[in-house]
Amino acid sequence: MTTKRKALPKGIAAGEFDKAIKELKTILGGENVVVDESRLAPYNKIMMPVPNEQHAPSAAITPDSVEQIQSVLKVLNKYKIPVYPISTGKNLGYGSAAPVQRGQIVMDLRRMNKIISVDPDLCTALVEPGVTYQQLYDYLQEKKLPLWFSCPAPSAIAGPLGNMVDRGVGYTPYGEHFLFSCGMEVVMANSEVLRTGMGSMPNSNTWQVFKWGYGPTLDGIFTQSNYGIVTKMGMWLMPAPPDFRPFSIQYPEETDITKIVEALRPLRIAMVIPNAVVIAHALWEAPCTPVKRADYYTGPGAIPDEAVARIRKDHNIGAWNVYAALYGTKETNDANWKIIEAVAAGTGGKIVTRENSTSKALDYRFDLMKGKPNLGEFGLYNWRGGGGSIWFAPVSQAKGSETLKQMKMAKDILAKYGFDYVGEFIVGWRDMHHVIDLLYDRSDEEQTRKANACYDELLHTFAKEGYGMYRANTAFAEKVAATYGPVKRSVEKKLKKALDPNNILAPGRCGISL
Amino acid sequence: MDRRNFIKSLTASGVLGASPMASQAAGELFNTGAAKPVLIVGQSGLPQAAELVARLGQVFAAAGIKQLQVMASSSELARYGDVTALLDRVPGGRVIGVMDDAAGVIFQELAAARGAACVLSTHHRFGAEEARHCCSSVGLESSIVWSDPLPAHAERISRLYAGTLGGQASAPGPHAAATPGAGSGAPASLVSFLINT
Ligand SMILES: Cc1cc2nc3c(=O)[nH]c(=O)nc-3n(C[C@H](O)[C@H](O)[C@H](O)COP(=O)(O)OP(=O)(O)OC[C@H]3O[C@@H](n4cnc5c(N)ncnc54)[C@H](O)[C@@H]3O)c2cc1C
Repeated sequence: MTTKRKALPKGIAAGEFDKAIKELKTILGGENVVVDESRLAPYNKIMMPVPNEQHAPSAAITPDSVEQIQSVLKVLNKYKIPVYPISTGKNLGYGSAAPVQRGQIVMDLRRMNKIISVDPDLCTALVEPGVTYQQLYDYLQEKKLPLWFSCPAPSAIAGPLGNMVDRGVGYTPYGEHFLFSCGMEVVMANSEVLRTGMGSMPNSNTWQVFKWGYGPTLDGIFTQSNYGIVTKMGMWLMPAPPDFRPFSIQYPEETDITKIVEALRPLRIAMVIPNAVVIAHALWEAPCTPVKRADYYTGPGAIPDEAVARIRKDHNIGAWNVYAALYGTKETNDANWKIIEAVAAGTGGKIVTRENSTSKALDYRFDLMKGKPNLGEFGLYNWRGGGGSIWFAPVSQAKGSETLKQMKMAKDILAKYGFDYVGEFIVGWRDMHHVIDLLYDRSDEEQTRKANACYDELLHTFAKEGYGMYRANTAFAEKVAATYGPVKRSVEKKLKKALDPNNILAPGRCGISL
Repeated sequence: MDRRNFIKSLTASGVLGASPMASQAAGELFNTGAAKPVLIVGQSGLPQAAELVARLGQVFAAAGIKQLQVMASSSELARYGDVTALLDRVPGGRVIGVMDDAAGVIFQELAAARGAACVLSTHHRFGAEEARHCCSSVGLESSIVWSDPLPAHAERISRLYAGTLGGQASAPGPHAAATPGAGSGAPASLVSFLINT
């Protein structure tokens, strides 16, 4: 007898699916194969402005070892059933824990949550996919190891491996997470286990210290892709500096963004400021302060500039709010602090430190810059209410001239659909991620429809100007991939054919499929 | 009777939670830890949340549903340790949360990280005179939306939760007194949800 299911993988008959599920249960045990609708709820999409059915999973499985994953893949190859791996599954705003296409089985790796090793001398760690930043933080605290890591804003609930494979970012000097990863273990579609870099070599003890190995460096193809299931990741940790000096600089005008970037870029490139500088707009700062939109504006359309000015005045928020830190010894930081003071004075900015602020926004930012997990940025969801959020994240050069142009483009399009500009620029080394939180009320059908149309227009307007996304919500993966042109896609497809001929690993992720 | 019909009919009739047959159907679908008290976690400092928690308490008591109530601050609901401690109180049971959007997402995601499923979730929007509710549930193809006049905004939603938890049909006690501040001032937004832990 076959069971009637709501979502099935594309082209798979219910009977075949049931047979596969039975085999998966034999490998994993019944409790680790979920098909019951109510227990599948955590794997339903949230915050994506598309119908739920589009990303409904058919099942979820929770293997606890590489061997189990290998056996699972044999079954899935046999039945040609696609699987969508997640690590901690908190990719909120970029796709949540839901599969990229309807009917895919979610492979939830949260039970593989061992911190395999931490080397306090070399400052490295080797972790499994289910390890959360909070868990790693607690481990380092418990062992009294003076080591820091870099984490994204929702760090307490997210994890380093999932974040790294989606090429996420954080706020310490190690904030470009893929860059500071070192060595991966990957289960390939055919169940082979690959260790990248030095990890391929028997008896090597350099897996977590030298990323490149010999020949082509393969690590990159396992990020923002679907060529393998990453089961271990090496990452570099940062020795806690003797002196950590976080600061914020507030600027009074929206147009100040040009001079801010021009002034800070040289400091960033020269590594006087070693971490990614965040330049947060007043409307990013406000919800996390916290301020509610409805206390200032309840009319139609985007919040007017006049209301934003009132918020800023009432809550002591800059039009732009720069966050960065100095990491070093007291002596080096004293010297560099003079540079920061001079830059702030020369550009009309006001320096804010913990001593002269009571803002919750400042608190969580300062904690993030030393890799202390927290959940402060979730305040964004209270701005509008209704809990809808989708990140629009184009890349630009770290040049002042780019910022105003991008902000105006974004603000105009958002306003057309009635949404506010809630954005920040994250200055990497020579680039900026311009991250915009498109906040909408997901309990309102009309707003959800508009959010979808708005994202679409943002995406295509920016692409026309040559601005590509650094990362995108899975609902828009195909469209974003298309903006990068046909040759790249054709190469990606050839790789897919070679590495996963049955197209069972997350087909559609980042637009890659057969 | 399936869950969809169950919720639809309850909503349409306005007698949420009062049908024994529907309660039985809901019990089969949602009622994993019926023997244990339901933990109701409300966010302090939000008048509408306080009001809904109070009404849930009254309706549950009338329906014979055992319960525990906890009010937690926005800071507590944004702290990993505090939220996990709340979830630890009801392993294998049910939690109803009544909080703002940020806290709601954190709570649900931390529950999900332990394999707990949010089976019913409702967004509440408060205007000057009425509250709009948008309820989604596993298996429900689309959300159910309805509005209630403000003094009674907690009524039907409380009965919906009671019905969903399989409470016995019985007349609930008198309506909770409106909390000062609820329904006045700027529009507010709230989320409530039911998690099987
Ligand atoms: C308020 C807020 C602020 C945020 N701020 C940031 C930020 O500062 N920086 C940032 O980077 N992000 C941010 N995010 C986005 C997101 O929450 C984080 O990036 C988070 O780390 C991703 O979720 P995760 O770590 O649980 O990864 P997962 O959800 O587990 O993984 C992400 C994706 O990678 C793939 N994947 C995961 N594991 C594997 C595997 N083992 N093998 C193969 N593929 C895999 C899957 O496609 C998966 O969907 C923010 C989100 C919110 C809500």
